[in-house]
Amino acid sequence: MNAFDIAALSMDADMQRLSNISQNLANVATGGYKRVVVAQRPFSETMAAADAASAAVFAPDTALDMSAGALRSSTNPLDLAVDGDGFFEFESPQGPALSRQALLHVDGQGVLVNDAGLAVRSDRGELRVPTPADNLRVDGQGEVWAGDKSLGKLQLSRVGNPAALQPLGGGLYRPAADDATQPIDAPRVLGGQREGSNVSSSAEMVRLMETARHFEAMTKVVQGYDEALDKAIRKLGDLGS
Amino acid sequence: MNDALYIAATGMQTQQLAVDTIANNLANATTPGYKSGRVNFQELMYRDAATHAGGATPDPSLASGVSQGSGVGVASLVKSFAPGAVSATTNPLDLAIKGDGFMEVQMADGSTAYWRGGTLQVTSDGWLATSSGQLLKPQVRVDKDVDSLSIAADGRITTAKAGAKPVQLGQLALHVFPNAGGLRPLGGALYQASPSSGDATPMSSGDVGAGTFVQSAAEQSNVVLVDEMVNLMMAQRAYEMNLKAIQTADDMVGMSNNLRK
Repeated sequence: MNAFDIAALSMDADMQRLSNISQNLANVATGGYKRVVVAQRPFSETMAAADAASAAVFAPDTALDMSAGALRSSTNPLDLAVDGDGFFEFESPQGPALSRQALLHVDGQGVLVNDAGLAVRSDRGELRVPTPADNLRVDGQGEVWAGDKSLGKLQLSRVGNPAALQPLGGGLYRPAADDATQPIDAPRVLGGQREGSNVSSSAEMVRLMETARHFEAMTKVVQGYDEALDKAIRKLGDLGS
Repeated sequence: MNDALYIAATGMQTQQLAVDTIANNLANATTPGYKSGRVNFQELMYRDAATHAGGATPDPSLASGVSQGSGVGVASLVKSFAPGAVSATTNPLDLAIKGDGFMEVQMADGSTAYWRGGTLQVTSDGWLATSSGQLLKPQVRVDKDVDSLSIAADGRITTAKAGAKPVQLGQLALHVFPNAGGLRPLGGALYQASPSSGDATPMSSGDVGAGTFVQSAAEQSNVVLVDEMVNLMMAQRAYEMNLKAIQTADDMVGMSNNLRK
């Protein structure tokens, strides 16, 4: 592998990193968004992969930063956040999906669902709310109440390795294939709170500059190597004449 | 070729929509009966970056576990039906609803819409209607020569005439929805039922959750100015950030185009 190939690989990686930074910046105001971080791999592994374009198995290159975003109070008592670790569970077409936040409302059929219309899971399956629901609210343990009648308890669970969760979009995640979810017995749920995005705009801007400059440095490597080749060819040509 | 450009562009589009929504809220900050709108964002679908780049052949420079998002989109645009403050007016035909209920009115095309209250009028043929001319359901007819019209908290409409006994004309009914936030706004505090809102359930006034009528009162808009201003600043800064990402992506493409001098 020559200097051209190495610089090209590095520039590809920079482009990829820039896409991740853009993704984080685009979601700076998306509630419950978890930022994507790119993990750098040792250069030797990249070389090996490029040489033997075989199906070498790597550790995931991107990981999720699952740290909590800042909580903001909201006027809807059914905007829920989790205090501590743990996820709400939703019924998605691809099976159960996890989410750090639950912005719930009652749909036309009286089922408690999130923004995307997915039913939230409870100890009684999906939660049905009578119409009109008087003072619908969720207490600190995740129990849903209408007046003084309990409708069910939200199911919360935790996963072994949150950083390896697969994002499905819409703030939903699927646990990695080798990771099972564990129900939480005594969850702490915050009603009337929305979790903000955990993207730090200043940190992303710094990464943005860093990435652009690294890319620029790699273009200089390509140009420098090109000049060296140019010089070598010319000198060798001089010798021949 | 360059995902970052398109990803940042989705960020700018959604922030633009957020600013549009905030502008609509601010424009209606003093509109009686207006309910504020809010945009909810969500990140878009993820895909496996390694299998995406060139189609069928995996890109060896990317590990198989890299999942690349494709930006941000709008999850929902919902109305907040939090109650606005009810303030007294001097017009006996101003009618407000304290609670979650809606009144049924008949649209010009015969369909049913739901009204949060406002100013009533008596049409030239004597029917009670909204200020924009939709007749109430059930229809109520008012005699031309009455001296006063009163609407009780339970919706009973009574007219009085000098020297005669008060006459009860009818009773207004309230309806509630499983999900009022999913109603389709028609403008003028009128809403239409949608699959997301569910079907209207008739209530008798005073039932828990339905609410009561208040005559000579107007419901103020539920826009909270401070919140809107904070959201406006947030949206502007987020727009700016995405612009920087686009500029950087463009610079990088420019640099690689200039590799060969």
